[in-house]
Amino acid sequence: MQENDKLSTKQIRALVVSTIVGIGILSLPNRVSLIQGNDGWISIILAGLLILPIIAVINKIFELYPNKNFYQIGNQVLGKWVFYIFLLVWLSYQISLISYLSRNLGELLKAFLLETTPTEVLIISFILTTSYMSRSEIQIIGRAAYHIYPIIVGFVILLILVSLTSVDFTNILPLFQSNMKNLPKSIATTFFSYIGYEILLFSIPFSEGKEKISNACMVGVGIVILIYIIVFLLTLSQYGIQSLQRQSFPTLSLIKEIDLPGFFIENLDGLVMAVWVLVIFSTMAPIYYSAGKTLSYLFRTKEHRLFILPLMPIIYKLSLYPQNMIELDELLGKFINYSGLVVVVLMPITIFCVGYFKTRRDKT
Amino acid sequence: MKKIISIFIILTLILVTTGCWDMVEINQRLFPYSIGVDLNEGEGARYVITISYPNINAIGKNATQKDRVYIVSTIASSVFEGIRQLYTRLPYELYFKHLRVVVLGKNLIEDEKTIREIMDGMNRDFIINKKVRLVVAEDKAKDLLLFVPESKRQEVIDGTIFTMLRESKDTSRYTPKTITDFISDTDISNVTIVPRAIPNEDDIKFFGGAVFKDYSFIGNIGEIDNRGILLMKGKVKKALIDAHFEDVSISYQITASKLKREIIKDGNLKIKLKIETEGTLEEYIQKEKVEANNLKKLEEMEKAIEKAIKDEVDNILEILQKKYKADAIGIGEHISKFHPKLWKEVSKDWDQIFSEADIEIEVDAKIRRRGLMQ
Repeated sequence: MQENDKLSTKQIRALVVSTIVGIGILSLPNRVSLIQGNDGWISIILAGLLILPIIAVINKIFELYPNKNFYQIGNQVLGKWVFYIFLLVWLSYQISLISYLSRNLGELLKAFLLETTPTEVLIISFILTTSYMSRSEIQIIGRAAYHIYPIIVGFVILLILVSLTSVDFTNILPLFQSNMKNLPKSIATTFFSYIGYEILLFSIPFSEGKEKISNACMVGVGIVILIYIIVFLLTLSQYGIQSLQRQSFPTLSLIKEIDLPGFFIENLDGLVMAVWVLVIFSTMAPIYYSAGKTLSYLFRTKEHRLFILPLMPIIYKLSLYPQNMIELDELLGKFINYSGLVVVVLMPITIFCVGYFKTRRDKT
Repeated sequence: MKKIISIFIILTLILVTTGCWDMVEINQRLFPYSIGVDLNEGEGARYVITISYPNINAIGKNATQKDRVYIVSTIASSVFEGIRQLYTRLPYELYFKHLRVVVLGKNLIEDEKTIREIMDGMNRDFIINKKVRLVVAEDKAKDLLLFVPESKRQEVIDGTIFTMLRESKDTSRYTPKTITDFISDTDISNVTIVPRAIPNEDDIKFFGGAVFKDYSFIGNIGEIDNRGILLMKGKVKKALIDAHFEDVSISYQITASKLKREIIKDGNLKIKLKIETEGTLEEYIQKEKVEANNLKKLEEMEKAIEKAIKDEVDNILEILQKKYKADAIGIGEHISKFHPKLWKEVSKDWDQIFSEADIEIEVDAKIRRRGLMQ
């Protein structure tokens, strides 16, 4: 019988995919094409490949210190104060990411589905729903992700099927004509769509079959890369590069273009928004959960669920602080990008390097 | 006690969370098919906005009203302003998700800025479907829409204009254009062609197209010209070509067409377009002896057809190159995709280079079938 408090490799893979795929899937093609033009797919692949070593590092950390959770490891390796600084950055990153997600969701839902409902109500109800989920333990979140994962994959397959009739694949040409000097910048932009894999820091200690975990994570990231590339190429070949650079949510607009023969299926944007709410939910719940975990470590409590509801007003206020979507990107988006670099790239690598030398020294 | 409280909470939830407090019944919404936009020539604001929508009460067995289509019109400073104004005159709300057609008036299209404004407004709106078809009216858009109820053959559910545009995908005499097509055509090759429409005796006729270059109207083309352009793009699905052969005219039905482009750059730009068509012989002439039976005869016929096609294509190519200087046949697009280095050189003054380019047309027509008669 399967152990109930363990995460299977399948669940871990689903957790990786559903946490990473979030806001980015709607706006990523536009953002990348603005910098890298037709060759945006290169930076999508490269950014994805850059994530893989970090995930390997995260796996190695837990191999160095088995039977310990991430906070204990960090505390032991980096010392109390350095680790506290990292945790504070992490906490602010988590809170601003949750606010960013909920505001984005509120704005888009209001525009596409619920015209008369106030944004505040949308945001509050969404944060409440997510907080219910994030009060549970990681095993339960993993199981939920396992059920949302097929919806995400199914959505991409649907996208391919319905748009095949109207796309013109020659729009992807010409290849390799963009300025490769912009590559670092576009990779940095794409990177934003890949954050979320830090949930592995919580889920790996609870996983079964430790030797297979690393593999499952890699496959998960591979699936995400594939999803992003498919979405990018489809939107590019539907719109051509100039139109793509003008669309703020090309994936949604792609759905609006559907005009199948027999015209039975059209105006699918409502349906897609409903799926997208699930996608955002599966991104936000793990991050909310990890924010609760961080706080519970800082305050030395046993339960993280104590902190979930008190976080709500902070998230709510922060998400309503920007005046519009552009300011939201300017303020929160940028902050998340920079603090994300510190938290999900720098922190695991530092812990691994220091920990590696410490364990070697201890052995000899 | 706990039980009672939880039951109470559940009961209040039923009161608060169920039901649609802002629901709208489907018959309390008006679904316009088409918007017509004209410039206002008289006093007042800038545009004349005309909206036509079906009268749901006139559809079905127990129709209670007679007028099938309602048409309302107002003067406003923008399309959306016009819609707002109409709200004060209509019983219910207009809902634009199922908008099908935008008719642009003749006097409106000559101004680049107005076209850009309308395109942006349509594209920016969350509700409007981006598959809206564009049509240019030969005169006023309002007149065209007002004519629809008088037209003999009507389609109440989908709208007469839209049904015609949708069902005649096979014709090559005009090419339906959606807003997305319009914008991406302009992005890619700076030129797009929107079908023209004119009220005929008792129906509406679509033909040819209005050529837009960089969002401004530069001229009209006829229906045969449109076919020529489609041939040069390799996009003809069905077309009937008449050719002269031994004093009689033969009809050739194109069932498939292909195009090969070849770009040669030495000094002046040289472009070879090879048009390959497949088709059937539709009509020849009844003779005592069997004639359309040997290969030689068929080859001669093919020659005659090739000549007819080449004349037609050359004619419109001349117009595009010399008169409009507009690359509506996708050569710039082809160069930018498959010869990006060359495109960097020529893209700056592409219109001029296109008009001077040496474009050679080669037609290869194949008669695959010749019908039941030998």
